[in-house]
Amino acid sequence: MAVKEIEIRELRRASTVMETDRSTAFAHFVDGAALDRAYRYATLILGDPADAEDATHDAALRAWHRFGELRDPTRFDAWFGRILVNACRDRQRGRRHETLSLDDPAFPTEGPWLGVATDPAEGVGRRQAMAAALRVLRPEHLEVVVLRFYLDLTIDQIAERTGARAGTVKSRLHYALRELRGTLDEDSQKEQGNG
Amino acid sequence: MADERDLDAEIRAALEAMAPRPAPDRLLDRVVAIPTAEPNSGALRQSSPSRPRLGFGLATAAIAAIVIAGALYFRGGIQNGASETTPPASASSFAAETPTQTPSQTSSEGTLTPAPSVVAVVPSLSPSPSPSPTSPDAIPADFEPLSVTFVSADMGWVLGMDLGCASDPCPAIVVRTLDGGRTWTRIAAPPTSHSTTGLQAGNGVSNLRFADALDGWAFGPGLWATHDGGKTWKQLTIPGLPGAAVAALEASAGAVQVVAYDGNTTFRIASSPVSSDAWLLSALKVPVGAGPVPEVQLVLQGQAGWLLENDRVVTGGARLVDGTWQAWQPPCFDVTGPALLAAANAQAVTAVCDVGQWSTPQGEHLYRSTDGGQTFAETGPKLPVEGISAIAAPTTSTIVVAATGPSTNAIEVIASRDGGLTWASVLIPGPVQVAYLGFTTATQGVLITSDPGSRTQLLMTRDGGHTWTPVQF
Repeated sequence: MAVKEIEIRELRRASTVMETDRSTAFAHFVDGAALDRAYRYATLILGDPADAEDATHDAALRAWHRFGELRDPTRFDAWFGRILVNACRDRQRGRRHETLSLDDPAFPTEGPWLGVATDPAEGVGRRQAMAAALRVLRPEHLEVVVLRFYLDLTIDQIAERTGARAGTVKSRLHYALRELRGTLDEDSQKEQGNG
Repeated sequence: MADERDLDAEIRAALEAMAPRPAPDRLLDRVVAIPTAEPNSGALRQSSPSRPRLGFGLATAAIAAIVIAGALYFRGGIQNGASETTPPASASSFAAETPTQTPSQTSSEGTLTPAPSVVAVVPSLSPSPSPSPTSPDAIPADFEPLSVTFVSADMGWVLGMDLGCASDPCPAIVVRTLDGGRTWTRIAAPPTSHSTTGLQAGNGVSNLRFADALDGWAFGPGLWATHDGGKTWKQLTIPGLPGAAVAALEASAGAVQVVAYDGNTTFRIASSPVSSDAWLLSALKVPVGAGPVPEVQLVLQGQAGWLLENDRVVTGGARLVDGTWQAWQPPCFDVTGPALLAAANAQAVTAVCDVGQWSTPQGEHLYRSTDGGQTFAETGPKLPVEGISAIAAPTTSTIVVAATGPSTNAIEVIASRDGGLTWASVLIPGPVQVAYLGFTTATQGVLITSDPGSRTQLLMTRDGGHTWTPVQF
């Protein structure tokens, strides 16, 4: 067999592997763990599991179409995370902002509680109050809060995912925390007034 | 500062509590389907082969191998599940499919709830949003489903035909779903017709199977393959078997197995990797019996497989062991009646035998094997039905059977959740035949009814057979 024929065969085989494993590589990156993270983020942002599922799917679809832009596989999380943030924003634009209802069975009333309250009943109440406060945050504030406190991203990482400057991220976080604190204090004062 | 830390902790705890449980399996299935549904991504576009790119190509191949290894490592359970249970729920006459698992969904015993006391057929799902009925891409209003195959809970295909077609026989039509049968889209079909010629050689088709999102086959008696998810089809001839009629085909563990009738005296078996058409003909020959209409059933689970031939009575068989087909004496070889097989895994094989059908009828009896079909033992009481037409074993404890009811001529679907010790009726589809019964997961199954006097119908269950929903196209 001529050398040229061998080379052509190898080239074809390599090309076939490339083509076939583009989807394998995509499936590797967008695996169960990545989808879990993405779906949880989308649910926290959008509040509705069905919307979150669609947004996550949208993000995965966009990632597939733009897979060639991913030059550094170690940057996949950041790259896909930004696509996801944008997919959730697109969903938000199409509807009124809603979040998980406290009456929703998806919202657990039991489980690990990291708060400061020592009374379990008070802990659940505080957690629900916080959830309620989170629900009414402005979308861009909720976005940075979830990225910071749920995904544990740094200011720079949040800036990269949201497309905002680091200073803007800090500012949004500042106002979001102030809003949350204010809402909680207000609730607390109401409870004391009722008591 | 302490106040700040407390607030941070409260936010984290609230978010943790608000965050949902893991992503639903349905989402994973939808995402896995993306490369097939949207094959024209801009990613890693394939370049024309050229000498300067040889090194890049080979390097990419090496990287891809690493990626594959990584994928298998990170998604071990998922990949393993897929590779072991490739054969999807698919329809064929006188065939009961092995159960399959979706990549993100594992079947487990005990996940099924007890059989219902009330038979329920829920209203049909909404028809698919489709192109104009006059469009060649539209699914015809008189589309009749003939064979179904699913590779996951979401992704499936149906082979059918247009009852109102102008030609005879009608051209084959293939439709695909990416959302578990809720909506369907017409895709390219092999350029041939629907066939009813059975084991007479021809290029028409009567059944459809897919091994994965890309690799599928339309067959019976002709053989056509696609390796691009149904975009293009190619007619195949099995080397060494020119003019043979394909009687059965299944795929599992990366290989497709075909049983073909040589037109004379034997059934032959050939196999190929699913992604190529590199067929290898087994030396084993399964002779036809003395009956008028030989029928074969092919069941695969992982790398194990069983072929059972009925020709009025159980006539012969073969077993796939370590990649090689070997002669095998099936269960009920001496009961003067036919048998049907199902396998929940490579070891758990179930057979229902119509004992004495051609001598002194003694009813339907259940036999089970826990050693891959080497030995069988009768289990439980006689089944409360007659005339078995299909059987499925979604799990080792669940067996679903379609048969004629004990007191009527109506077809009845019964299920056992305890390995055949007790049975309950789960569906009475009426005075029609059940052409196929199969499960894709422990809870999702398909059933095709047929009746000479009416249209065939595809039904789906998503609750282990408790309720069956007619599928609209």
